[in-house]
Amino acid sequence: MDGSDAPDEVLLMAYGQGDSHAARELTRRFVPRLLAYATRLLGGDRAEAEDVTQEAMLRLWRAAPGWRAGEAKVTSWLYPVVGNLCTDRLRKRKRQGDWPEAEPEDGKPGVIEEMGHAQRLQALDAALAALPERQRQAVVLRHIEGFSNPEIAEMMEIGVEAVESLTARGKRALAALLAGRKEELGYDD
Amino acid sequence: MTTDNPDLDALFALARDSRTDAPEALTNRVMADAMASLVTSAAVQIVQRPAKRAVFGLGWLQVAGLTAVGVMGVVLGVMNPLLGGELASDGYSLADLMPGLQDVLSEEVEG
Repeated sequence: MDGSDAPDEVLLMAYGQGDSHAARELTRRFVPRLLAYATRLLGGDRAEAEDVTQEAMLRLWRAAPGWRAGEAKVTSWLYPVVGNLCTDRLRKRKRQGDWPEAEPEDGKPGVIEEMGHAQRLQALDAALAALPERQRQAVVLRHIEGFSNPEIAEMMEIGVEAVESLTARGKRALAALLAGRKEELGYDD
Repeated sequence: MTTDNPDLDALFALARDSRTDAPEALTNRVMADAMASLVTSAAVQIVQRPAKRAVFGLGWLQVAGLTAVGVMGVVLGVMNPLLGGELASDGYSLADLMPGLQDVLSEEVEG
């Protein structure tokens, strides 16, 4: 099956019927996105994010045989799984007192330099890591993963207005955290 | 009015564009899980396949039991006159001669 244009749900049902090529296409589509999402939710912990991504995809493979057309979108199912797995790990960290601090890139005081893409991303990720968990989740789902407010509301099991409030407060907090670094980040007026 | 804050939208766009890579080792692990799940799913379907019905909705065990009953009945029916009708006249019935008959007939089809 040439799955390059097939909807996610069609691919998943094909996999449930034994199509391994469908699994490869789903892996190609989702693993990078889920890895990036989990990494941001976990404050930059790439190793844990890989574990979460693998676990989420395993649960998807196991759910595939029972997947029915029109029941749910694969993204609406997968992203909450990743979110919940990350939440579990964050709470475990807090209980164990193991909370790695996300440090922003250490620019030399007084030195104005243009940052490369990687450094800009590091600055954004560090600022995201400093947000409360639910704000971070809403901002990432809205402004990086590109979901609509109703979709996010369904994933996070809250109302649309709550999503709007979380994303608005999250953006204001990010702006405050990144304040004073516009020139350093290489953005001109 | 200019602000002293970074362009969040540009940073978000940069973040979106960066979601292209995943370590090959992770991709391989995910695919290995997918293949293993396919094998497991196929095995579960074989185990759960319902037992086939033999005759008239009865299982093979019931059919075998009824056949044995029928054969015994024929044998006794032939032999009873030869024995001078002693069995029936003494009050014996087929169920007395085959204590397990009721159990076989009421046994549920497996699966």
